[in-house]
Amino acid sequence: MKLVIIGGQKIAYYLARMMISKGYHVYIVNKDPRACESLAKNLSAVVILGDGSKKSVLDQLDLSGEDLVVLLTNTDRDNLIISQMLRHYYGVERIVTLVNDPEDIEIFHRLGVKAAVSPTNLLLQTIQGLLLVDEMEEFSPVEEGRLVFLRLEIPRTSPSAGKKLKDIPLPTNCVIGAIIRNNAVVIPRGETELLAEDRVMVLCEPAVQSQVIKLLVGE
Amino acid sequence: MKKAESLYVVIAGCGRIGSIVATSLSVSGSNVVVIDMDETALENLPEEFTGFKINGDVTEISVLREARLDKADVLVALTGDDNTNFMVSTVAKRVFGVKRVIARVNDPSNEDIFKEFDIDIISPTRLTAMGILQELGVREA
Repeated sequence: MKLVIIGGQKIAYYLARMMISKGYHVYIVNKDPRACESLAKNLSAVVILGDGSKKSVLDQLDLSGEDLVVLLTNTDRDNLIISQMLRHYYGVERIVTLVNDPEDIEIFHRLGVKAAVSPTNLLLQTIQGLLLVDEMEEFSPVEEGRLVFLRLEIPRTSPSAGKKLKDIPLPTNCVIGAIIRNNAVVIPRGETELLAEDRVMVLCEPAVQSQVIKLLVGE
Repeated sequence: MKKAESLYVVIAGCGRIGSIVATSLSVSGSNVVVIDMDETALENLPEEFTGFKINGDVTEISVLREARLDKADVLVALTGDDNTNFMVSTVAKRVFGVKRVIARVNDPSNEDIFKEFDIDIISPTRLTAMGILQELGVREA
């Protein structure tokens, strides 16, 4: 199995370096001669100079269904046509693509590319999370932002403090996975009471995050 | 397929080719929306063109929504960049459900991937080459 990285400058370099250190055979395609030169000098990877959206360039990679390809060009139209060539010509299914316009995530999903990552979206969600409340200790988008992981401290003023979990009207697309109470982990059940100063770990969809925070932390 | 007079056509790209296609369709009675990133290209459309103009990037889904692509009978992708034409064509097919999609494909080696998505292709490269060969009375190899 080989790992192919198409496009990208800094990210391509750091990603390739990490994957090489993990023992992967890394191939890099870049259309910028300067970038190729510096990548070839600093990495033990196969570096191919060329436009990754051309079949003649992709043919050089000798791809098979085993391989994993990461698309990092800075335009979604390039990443899109490359992803479709990879699927249709070489049967590559393991494709990770950078999505520049967050609205395009949906397009990639519809065209069979499930791992479509938008840095804009990830940053936006993290920023929004940090702006929400003081009690927020951690906020991380997971699964390309389709889920968020929250760690919250339950304040004394919380509308849910002292209530059993089953009595808190949490939305269905949300789950409390663990409670940290006096440094001990409590795996919660419906009968578990939520106490002030508990730290709760929550997984939910982004659509309900504000509602969940309001219920657990308060206004 | 409806008669040409009543078609709703969205045209991506208002270069020389896009401008001729847009104007002719508009004159023949179709409802035409032309999209181009370059504002002067839109301003240069002749007076006979009575359709709508949208100044925007055809690879942005919000621009395509503004063009009411979901209501279009036909999308024609005519920019000079194959990758742009591929994106707008596949989005028209798979996201907006446009029945008929026609795309300009400049690099013949890209034709197969367009065909995979049931996109009708027009190749200026091939057409020009064929025209020249025809003039010379030579058959295409």
